[in-house]
Amino acid sequence: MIAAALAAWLAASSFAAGRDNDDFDIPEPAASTGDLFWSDGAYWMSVHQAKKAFDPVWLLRKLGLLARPPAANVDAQDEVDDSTWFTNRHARRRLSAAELAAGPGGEPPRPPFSVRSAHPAAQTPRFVAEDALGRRIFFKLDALDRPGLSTNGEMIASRILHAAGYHVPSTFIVPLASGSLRLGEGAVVAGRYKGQELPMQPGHLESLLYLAPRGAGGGRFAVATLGLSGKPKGPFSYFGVRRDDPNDSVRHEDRRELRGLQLLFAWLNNTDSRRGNTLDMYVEDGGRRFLRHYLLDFSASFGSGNNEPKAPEEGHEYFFDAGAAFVSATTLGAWVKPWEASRADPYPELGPFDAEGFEPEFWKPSFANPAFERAAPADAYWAAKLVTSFTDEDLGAIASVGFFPTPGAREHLVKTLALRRDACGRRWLAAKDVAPLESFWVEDGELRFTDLAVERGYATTDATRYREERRRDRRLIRVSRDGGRTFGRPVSVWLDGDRVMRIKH
Amino acid sequence: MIAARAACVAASLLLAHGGIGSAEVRERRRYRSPPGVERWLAAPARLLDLPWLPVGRTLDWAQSRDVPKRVMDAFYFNRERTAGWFPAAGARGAGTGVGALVFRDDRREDGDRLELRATSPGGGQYFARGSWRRPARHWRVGSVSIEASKDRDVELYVAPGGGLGMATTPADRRGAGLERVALRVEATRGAGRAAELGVFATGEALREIAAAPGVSPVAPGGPSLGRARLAGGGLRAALDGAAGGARPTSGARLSVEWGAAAEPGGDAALLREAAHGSAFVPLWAPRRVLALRASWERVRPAGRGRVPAYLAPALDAHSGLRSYPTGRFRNRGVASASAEFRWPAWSAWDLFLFVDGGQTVGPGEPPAARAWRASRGGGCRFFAGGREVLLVQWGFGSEGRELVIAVGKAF
Repeated sequence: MIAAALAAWLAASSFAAGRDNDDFDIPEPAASTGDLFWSDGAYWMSVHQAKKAFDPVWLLRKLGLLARPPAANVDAQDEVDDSTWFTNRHARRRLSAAELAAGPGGEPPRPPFSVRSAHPAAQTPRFVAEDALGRRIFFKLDALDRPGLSTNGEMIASRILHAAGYHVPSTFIVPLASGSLRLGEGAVVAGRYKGQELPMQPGHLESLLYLAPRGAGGGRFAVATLGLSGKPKGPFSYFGVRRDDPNDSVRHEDRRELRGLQLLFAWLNNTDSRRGNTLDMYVEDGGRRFLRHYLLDFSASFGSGNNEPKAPEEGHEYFFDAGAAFVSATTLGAWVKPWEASRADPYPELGPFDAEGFEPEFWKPSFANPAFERAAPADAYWAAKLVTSFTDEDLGAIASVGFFPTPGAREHLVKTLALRRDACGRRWLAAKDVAPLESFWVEDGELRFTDLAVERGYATTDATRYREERRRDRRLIRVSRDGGRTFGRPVSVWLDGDRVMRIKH
Repeated sequence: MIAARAACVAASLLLAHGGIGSAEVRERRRYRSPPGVERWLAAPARLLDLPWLPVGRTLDWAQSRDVPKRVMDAFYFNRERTAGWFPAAGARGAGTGVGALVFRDDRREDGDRLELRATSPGGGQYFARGSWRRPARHWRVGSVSIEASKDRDVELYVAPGGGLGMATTPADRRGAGLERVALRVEATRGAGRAAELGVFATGEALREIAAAPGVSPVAPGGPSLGRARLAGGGLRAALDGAAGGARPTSGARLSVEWGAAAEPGGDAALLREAAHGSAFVPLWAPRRVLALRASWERVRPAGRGRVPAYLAPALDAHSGLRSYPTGRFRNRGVASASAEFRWPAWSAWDLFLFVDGGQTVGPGEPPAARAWRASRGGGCRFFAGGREVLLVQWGFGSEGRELVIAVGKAF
């Protein structure tokens, strides 16, 4: 009986390999404050930046005298466990084209839609409705002159992030016809100011349809997001922990999956990586209730700046970048930023999105992000493994769900994502910051491994050399890509006889 | 046996994940952030968080109440249907008062615009304006505006002997009181996307009232505002070939207007002509622009008619000479030119340096060569939603400095 209990405990315990135990049953947390991006954005771009000058640790890191702190939630293989934050998917077990295109899945919204609330005057017009199955659906409309601009971000970027392992809602392109929208009971339309609501009239439904762009066949459409199961408890911060969540024991800026998100967002050019585009849901699963953490709102991906083309600065500067503003002001405009050159924008449904000049380590979101700032090379390397796990065919399968009325747009997107992916791969798999060696095993007394840079085509064996150093408790493997002239930072491997006990990049 | 096993499994699940307190959850968590010396070392830097707390709370409150939108709405910066009541400050610190703004603006760019605005800065003064405008497509009434005001400190610089314009000095500042009602009805027609033609009719009634206490009045015998009831009309044409909207990067704009007004049964009669042009020259890099502007405006008596001094055009910080106070130079004619170098500091913020020059033309003016005045300075413009929302500009000239903070102003 005791043995059975122990076995059951082990089976139930999240100490099983590959799984974090951050899903203990917890009391229902309070809903945290919503999308207060002014104070968030202003703080992280002003006070937080100013504090660095008084932070000796930051100064030492800036001078290269101190390494970035390692992520606090990596396992012995230097990987991230499945958790309420992240689930290893495509990089571990390749998803099929159909799975990639399906994303989180779920049945598409079924009309008719009973509209509950609408915000037609928002920068991205939107409304909330219930479908024929009683599910809550969030609809967003593209700009009339840019059909597909926001939609493609929501449809494609969300599926890429889902395949990478993040928790995202399901999205669909839904046709809107005059008969598919109905006035829900107690429906309201947002007034001019927050908190103002007016009873919705039939005319509002008509105006919503008028705001929806037309698809290829002439019918109007919207991008629909399925409501998440559970109770929303507000966004999560990229800094600190959530005090009312006992499962939240790792500071968010020390979580690898959040640090690594910088590279994925850089790849997808999703510049809107602020706290307001996240959501904690209090869910019930396996008899336990806990918070699951989601990413939301990908309409600022690729060349979209939320229903208008991205400004030239996006991806290169913070929304308010004191350094860039100071230099520009004091040089009287003589300093022309490289990204100020005019950009091609031949595809209205994508906006200005290309791979020219893309340097992933210099990419910046619109709002300073403390987790991104704290990312160590090992975190970027981990994210690069996710990014480079997508082949051109994978990207094509995902892009097939988008909306591309302009000939060549879909192909341009796939090609650009592939080029940007390769830029990420070259930077973080083939550079000296991290030794991209994986899958260690001991055979015939020799330590063997896979070189991801070679396997994925970012380095060749011709000029690649490896050097092993044996320390008392571990082995250090360094890689050279120039025939052995210079070697990069090592990967550390701890062995116990023939067993690989621990890896650290 | 099965029940016992089930009980063991349930117990294990309970022990593993359920029914335990927060402290024990934290204790059992597989991963935890390590206690950091780093956080202790960074503690002094966190002192900067203390003054931030009230700022952050204020920003949260402002965002949750849409405070900037409400404030900007008070300055015609709105795109939605709404009505509101807003506080208003006195124009020249004569006192604070309240204002009411009711407006409607269809979200479609080609919709009608109706604006009603009233402010009362105290001291018996008020300003009210109502206007309705629709985009010009065919010949039809395109706009109607009614404006009423009572101002007890109208700036007027009058030299000893009654001269106006460039012959005056700062010490010649006088003030007067004026009550005015004006009506303008205009029919417009669009000629292509960039051009517009208009014909308008105007009616205006104004009379001089007592100036506010403490204001130096115009000396006896000097130009007075007088009293007039004018009716008139005119023609207007505008051409907008500038690209870039509120942040033009190339192209040009031109507007010309000609009008006439007379006082039925009275002695006031005047002709008015105005031309304003601006050109935007792209420079060596994107968004570096040389903005040039030239303006000419003149009123002159029609026959033996009298021109009320209030209707004489002014040259000041708001109209072509940016280092001089409101109403500084006023005479029958005004000519000005500006050159402004603009460049972006960040996405929503343009900086600029400028030089202005101008002079007035009319009775009592010194020779043209000695009349010309210049100012120089710089400033910045903030943009939101593709429109200029805030102008901050600092001008320097021979008579001092002038700071202008304006909302919704464009050049």
